[in-house]
Amino acid sequence: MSSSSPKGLSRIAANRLHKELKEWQVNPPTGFKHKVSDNLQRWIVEVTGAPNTLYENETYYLQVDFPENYPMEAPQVIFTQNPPLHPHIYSNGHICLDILYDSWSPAMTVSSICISILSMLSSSTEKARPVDNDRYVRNCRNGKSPKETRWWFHDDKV
Amino acid sequence: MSRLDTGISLSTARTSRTHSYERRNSLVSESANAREAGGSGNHKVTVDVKDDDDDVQIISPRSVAQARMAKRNRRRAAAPSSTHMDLELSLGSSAVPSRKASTRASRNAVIDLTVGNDDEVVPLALGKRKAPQVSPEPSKDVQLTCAICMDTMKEETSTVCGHIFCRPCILGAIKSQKKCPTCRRKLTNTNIHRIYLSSGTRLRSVSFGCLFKVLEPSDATFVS
Repeated sequence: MSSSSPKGLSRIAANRLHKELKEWQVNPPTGFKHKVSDNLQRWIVEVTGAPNTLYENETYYLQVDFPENYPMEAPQVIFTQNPPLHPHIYSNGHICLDILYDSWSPAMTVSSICISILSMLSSSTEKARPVDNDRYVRNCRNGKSPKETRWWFHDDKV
Repeated sequence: MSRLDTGISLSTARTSRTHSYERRNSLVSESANAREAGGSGNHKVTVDVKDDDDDVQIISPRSVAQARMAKRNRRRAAAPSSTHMDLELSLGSSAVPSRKASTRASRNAVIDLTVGNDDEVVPLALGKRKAPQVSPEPSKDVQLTCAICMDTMKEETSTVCGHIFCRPCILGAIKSQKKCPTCRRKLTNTNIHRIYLSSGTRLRSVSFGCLFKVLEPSDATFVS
């Protein structure tokens, strides 16, 4: 592990991520698997759609990148590969979810983010892209982070 | 005080007694001096010295403060936390209103203290390593975890909304977000204060340490 000790993370961030990973290994959130890697700064998490929801038994991948001053700053969380069809998930994998941006709190964890995302998936009533998907994705073409987006959180139901 | 003295009386009873009385007498003469300087009657002092009785001399409005100071210094040095000590402190405050009240209080004190001493001698003489439990202790194993660093709490600090974090952690959180990480209440650096949750436990553990030392003959000089 020490060989891959990420340059990008502060000592506080690395310590905290070690703790989170340890806790995750003991008590992972239901429906999630952490793909083992040496990279503490980027976690790949496998999500399985919850039973009796539109996404039942479907598998998706989340990529979680941690900033240097995590947990004071939110991690960047996006879906990789084929993002689920969801009114708040853009086709480039960006997720419109307030806790990932304005409402982030340093007391939150990867685990709590995962639970929020699964809850967001589970409460969806239709498999569809956000109405402004094309415009947004075009806007992000040169690899813009979702954290640079000025999100408008208007829907508290899904 | 009582614990340390009785502890040593196991092996070198005579000497330790002398030690403790010398110390007491010096305390008495100090307070006597103070009283003479103040110009008030000091007949009580002589009675106390002959009497060999522990702490009557301490209970007088003028000497209370001084005695308390001396106690505090001694406590800092040896850190015995005993009923004895606590009793004296509470008497100190009750002695303030009137001289009559203070005399009555001092009589009570003598009775209570002898009882207290006997209680403490027994377990020590039996050679028990564990000191008698004075009161139900807060669980020593309480280890708070900071929600920000997820580590054991360091420099416990509370927000005005009642959420506790490490001091550096909450300062960092306020710097970056200006709100409570747990409840999102708006916060500034003046909305937090350091709290001291485990000081009682710490003090007691210090006195344990002293007791262990006393019980080992090689360390007997430690007390005097």
